[in-house]
Amino acid sequence: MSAQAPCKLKASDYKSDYKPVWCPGCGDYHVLLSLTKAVAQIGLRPEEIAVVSGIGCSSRISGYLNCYGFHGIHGRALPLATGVKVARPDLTVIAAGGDGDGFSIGGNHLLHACRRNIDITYVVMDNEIYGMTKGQPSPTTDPDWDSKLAPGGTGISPFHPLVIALASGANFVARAFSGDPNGTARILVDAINHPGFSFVQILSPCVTFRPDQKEWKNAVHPAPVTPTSDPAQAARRLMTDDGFNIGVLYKGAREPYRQAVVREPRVERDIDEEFMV
Amino acid sequence: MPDQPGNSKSTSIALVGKGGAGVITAGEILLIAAARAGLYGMMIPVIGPQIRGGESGALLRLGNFPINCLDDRIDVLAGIGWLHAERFRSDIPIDADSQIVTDPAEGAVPDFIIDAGARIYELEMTALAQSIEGGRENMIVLGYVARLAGIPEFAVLQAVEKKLGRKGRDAIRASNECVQLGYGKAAGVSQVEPEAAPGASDSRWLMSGNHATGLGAIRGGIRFAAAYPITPATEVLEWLAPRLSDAGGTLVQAEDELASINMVIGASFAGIPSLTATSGPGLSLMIEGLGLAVGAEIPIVVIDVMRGGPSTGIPTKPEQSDFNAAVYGLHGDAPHIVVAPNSVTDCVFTTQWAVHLADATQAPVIVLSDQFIGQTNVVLDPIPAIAFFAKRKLAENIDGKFERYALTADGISPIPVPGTPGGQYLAGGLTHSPTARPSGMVHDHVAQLDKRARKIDDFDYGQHWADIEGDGELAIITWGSTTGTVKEAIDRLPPELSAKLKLISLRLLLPAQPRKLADALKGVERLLVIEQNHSGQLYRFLRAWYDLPAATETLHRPGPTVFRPGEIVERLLDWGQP
Amino acid sequence: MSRVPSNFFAQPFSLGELLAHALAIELDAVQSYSELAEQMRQCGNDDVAELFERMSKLEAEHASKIREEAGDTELPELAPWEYRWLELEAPENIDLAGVHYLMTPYHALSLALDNENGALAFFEAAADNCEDDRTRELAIEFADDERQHVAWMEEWLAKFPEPDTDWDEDLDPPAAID
Repeated sequence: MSAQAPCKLKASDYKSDYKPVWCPGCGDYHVLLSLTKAVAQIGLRPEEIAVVSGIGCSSRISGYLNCYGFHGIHGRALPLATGVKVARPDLTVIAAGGDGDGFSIGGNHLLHACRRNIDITYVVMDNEIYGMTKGQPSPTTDPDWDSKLAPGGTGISPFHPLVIALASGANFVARAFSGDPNGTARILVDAINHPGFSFVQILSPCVTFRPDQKEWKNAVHPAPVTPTSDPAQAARRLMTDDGFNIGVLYKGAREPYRQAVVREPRVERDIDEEFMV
Repeated sequence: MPDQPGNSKSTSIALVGKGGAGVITAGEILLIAAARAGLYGMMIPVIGPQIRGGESGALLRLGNFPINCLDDRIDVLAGIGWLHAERFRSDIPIDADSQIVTDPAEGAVPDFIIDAGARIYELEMTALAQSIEGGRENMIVLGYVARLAGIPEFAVLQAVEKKLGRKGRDAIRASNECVQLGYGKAAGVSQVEPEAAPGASDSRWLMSGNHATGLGAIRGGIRFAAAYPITPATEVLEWLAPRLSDAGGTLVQAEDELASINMVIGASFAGIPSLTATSGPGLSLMIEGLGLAVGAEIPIVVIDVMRGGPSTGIPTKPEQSDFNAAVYGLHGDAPHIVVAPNSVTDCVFTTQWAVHLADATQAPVIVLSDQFIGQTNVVLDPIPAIAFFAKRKLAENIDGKFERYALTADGISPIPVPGTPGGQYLAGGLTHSPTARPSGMVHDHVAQLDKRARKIDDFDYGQHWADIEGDGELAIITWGSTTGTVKEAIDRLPPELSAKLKLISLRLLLPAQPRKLADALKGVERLLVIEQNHSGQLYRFLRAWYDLPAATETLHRPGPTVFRPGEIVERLLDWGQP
Repeated sequence: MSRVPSNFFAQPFSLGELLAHALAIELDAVQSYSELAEQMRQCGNDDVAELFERMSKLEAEHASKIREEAGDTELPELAPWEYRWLELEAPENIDLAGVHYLMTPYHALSLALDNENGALAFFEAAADNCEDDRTRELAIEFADDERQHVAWMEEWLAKFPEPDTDWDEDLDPPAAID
């Protein structure tokens, strides 16, 4: 967070001049809107924000904000973001990507990023598909969803991102819906402000390959409970989660990962002396 | 000590025994003792396949000149039991002049030793150790062998204190008594008088290549490291962990090499010089990340402590077979830099230089070390600090439209530190325009490829690209740990042959330096390329990039055993015939 | 999301609040239409792009009018989620399900019409939930304005026939660019 006075930019001031490649109607447009509203609300300076993404439609988002962006390689947004944040704890670091990038190739990094509890916010735009490569099932796709790569469906149970994040130690776990940009902005503000690893799954329909997801706006509903700080209680709630509960599930009190580059030497150590016989 | 050409003298010692016998500890103490006596030396641990309790050995070579390779033979071989000693056979070449120290109570000397005709000396290690309270056999042997090697007793006792000081006064007392007992037993047997070499002092350094690499990294300005353990590179990272922290930096343990390479890219993007260390299998995992660093123009350093390959290979033995992976492994046209230290001492400079090169060119630099350099402990002269630091061309006070990847004359475009107002840009692997906007247009792709190639090719690497010694119509090109062995082989040649021999040890492997090598090869009619891998990787590369003399040959073989000077001398004598 | 009890009726609207809400409707609409116009341009859907550009300008004019109306009145600074809309989403929130790169002017105007109806509904309801007469009068005035906008939209929309069932047929498949 900035040490200087908050700046008073509008949400649209955080947008870069890159024209998004997303299909018109893509939920990610509203995620971008929510994110810009969130950082505008907090009053962060654009140059003090780093947006780090992987590969996929959703990962293009790093180019659409006028912050310091890193469009990394597939599945590796989290280690990139970890490196940025540990090197520069003064920056606000937001990692972003889709469900394929984050839960498949990036799955291992998700576990350990949650475990380390690095003070970053990870936004996963979940559309239950690999959109960029034209429609393959992802780890959150239903087992009976037909596709060219898996005719008749994968037959594999989908991944439950919130369960994984909670079990791995994320300090903040939430689900949002891109169709409610103001509500999502609120969750993102909460996530960014909360110390430690904040995980936000944003349901973001794919207009091109999942026209059925138009129904999501009728399926989502605010979670009927307030956020808990008890991981066991959060876990119990997840057991009856229908996948459309919207809101902050869990806000924990774990200490964020503390090792950081501090620039000034901490100890006067003569390394050379150690080598003397 | 057996005479070398000139006044150089060295003794080669091997201590073997079952695991738990403390053979490696004894070896380490012996090396320190030699250093305290004013000698140079090296010590390599050799191990069996078990984690504990298996056979182990310490190979030492001590001398009155800087030691950078093993000799062709062992002068003294001591065994605390001979369990599976034949597994080390290729590491302990003995002959009729070798002195073998054995305890009859610990089993018979293996046949291959008897057959060599070596002289057997019996020492009741077990009984002598038991005669001292808290006594250990390895300390008895240590004293005995030290005397055989002509190391003054005071030096051994000092070394015991240094190595075992942490274990308390009782342990030191017991060890000292054992050392003195063993030392005394050898007095009647030894053929040399102990002497402290001229200038005997404790001002020498003792370090392994892995530690030297860490030192070079910190001196160069590395303040972030990501670590995933892998044999034989782990010590680089373990050495760095506390010392980086003390220097104000930090090390993060990653979940895998895919994470570590991306962490260092992220940290470097954020403005902090960053490094990771690995071995062959880890380098393979990092290749995609290295490509990202090339495309996004982010400085990083990756240390590869090479081991036997391919795949899992031989984790505990050296080889120089990752050359191809380091030079050619990246997909696409991805210019980057590869350097290789050619001794333990050189690990400090070459790593520091790598850090400097990475930041100056905003590109990844791979440092090809190997297990022989990395895990050998060497006594060497102190390495003074030099002023070579990481310094990137920063974009500061940015006014107006900022072109992160501007097409500059030298190919290096200023890079902003995140937090700098106006410097916001999108770093990434997608091909881009000079403003960093993703672009698949032909002119952008070509322009950026040209830029990234130009910045690497046109960079002034100075005289550090190679170490060149001698002159003449015969030349040897080698690299890495093989260098020390080649140098010693050359020293053993008849003067009329070594007088017309030039040695070129390449430190900068990539990019090729055609003009510099052409200059170095002026007047050279015959060339021999020496390297430790099966397929002659450097040789093929040289053929691709350089005009080589018509009469060019190679001497290459894979690990796991390192080159010995004798096998190189043999080849040089043959090759050097007109 | 609309199955939620709104906080609309939590308290009456003050003058400042009403103006802030009115301004937000227009300014967010300016942004949304302008972005939609850009998206349509990217896809070569120039007719609809022009349409959205016009709508964005119109909303900008409405916004200016509201600013004039506001004069020196101090407007509260509200976080995006602190606005008290009738539904959970703001009236100007574009339902992306209605956006398609091949959308026709019919679709675009239907979308805009939905927005205007939403705004109308908001002001009508707000008129019954105001702190004072001045505010109520303003709410009624804004509702009248929106009614007028609705009428214009309907008139405009009437010029375009309902599209054929194959309006979204694209003979080319989607492209994978990454």
